[in-house]
Amino acid sequence: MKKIIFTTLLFFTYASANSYEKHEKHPHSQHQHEVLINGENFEIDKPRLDEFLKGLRASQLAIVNVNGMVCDFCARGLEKTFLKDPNVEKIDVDLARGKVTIAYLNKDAVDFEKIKGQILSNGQTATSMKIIKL
Amino acid sequence: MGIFIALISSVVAIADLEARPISYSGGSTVMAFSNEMKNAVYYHYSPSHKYSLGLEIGDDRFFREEYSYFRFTYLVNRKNTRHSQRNLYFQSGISSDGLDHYFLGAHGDWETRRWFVGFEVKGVEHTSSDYHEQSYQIGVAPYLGAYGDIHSWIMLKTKRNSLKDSWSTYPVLKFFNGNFLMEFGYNDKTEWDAHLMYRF
Repeated sequence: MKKIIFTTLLFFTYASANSYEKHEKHPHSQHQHEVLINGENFEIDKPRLDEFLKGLRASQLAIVNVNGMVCDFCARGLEKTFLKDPNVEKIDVDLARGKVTIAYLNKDAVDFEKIKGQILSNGQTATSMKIIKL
Repeated sequence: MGIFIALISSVVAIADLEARPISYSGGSTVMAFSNEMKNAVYYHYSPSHKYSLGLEIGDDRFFREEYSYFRFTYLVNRKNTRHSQRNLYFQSGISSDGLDHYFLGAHGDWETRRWFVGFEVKGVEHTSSDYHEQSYQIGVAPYLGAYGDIHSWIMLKTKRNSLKDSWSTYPVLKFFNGNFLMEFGYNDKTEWDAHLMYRF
């Protein structure tokens, strides 16, 4: 058991150092943008959004502000919950800004109440949403 | 039983037994944990984000016996804000030995992406000797990782079991990546305090 713990510790220490280095090389303050959506200012990480849009077939995005999304581990269920929906092509979780972006394939109106329920089932609270038509 | 637990402990990764006592709706969690009092594995299923049902089996190192608990955990209160989450859980378990062997307790935590504070208290009615446990934990994340990165926490934990009648305080390291979480601490009194968790 001690050998397993020691080996795992070495691996995670190395991987953590890599994550930290990567994070330091790309401080979020350098790529924060405000994008005009539906007539309101809405803080969006533009490079992150551009990366998310690459190769997408989706026809619309729902960008949702979420409260309580404080850790990666607790946000994992969001991915699983939304990707069960055949109309959801992709999802992005932005822990730093407390935002979840969902790419929908169809053009039907996105139901915020349904999204709130899906996020609540994961333990977080959706507070507002913006739709981007692609 | 010991071989089975060791095998599971080796296959899974180290996790915190009580750090995430309830999963998302429809989610399952398997944990392995080892400390000076017991070696055990615990599986739970969450029909909703409000409660989980599970089975814990293990070796009690103090009473030198094998045990199993059917466990129920309920989210009493949760407060989500833009930068924090606060939780209060009720936890319980009843042994397969019978109605005179069970536990009741509470677990609470508050965390941001940078800070963590948590506590746990538990009273155990045991056929040999009743006892209670309490632990408190504070932690800081040395860096704020993005979604998908490996996340790390440096923590300080203090705990007491009335059977041993002494406090033990020691540093704990916690790491998680994706659906895996591991946590372990060490000091002269308790030796290894290790937890592994996998959620699916």
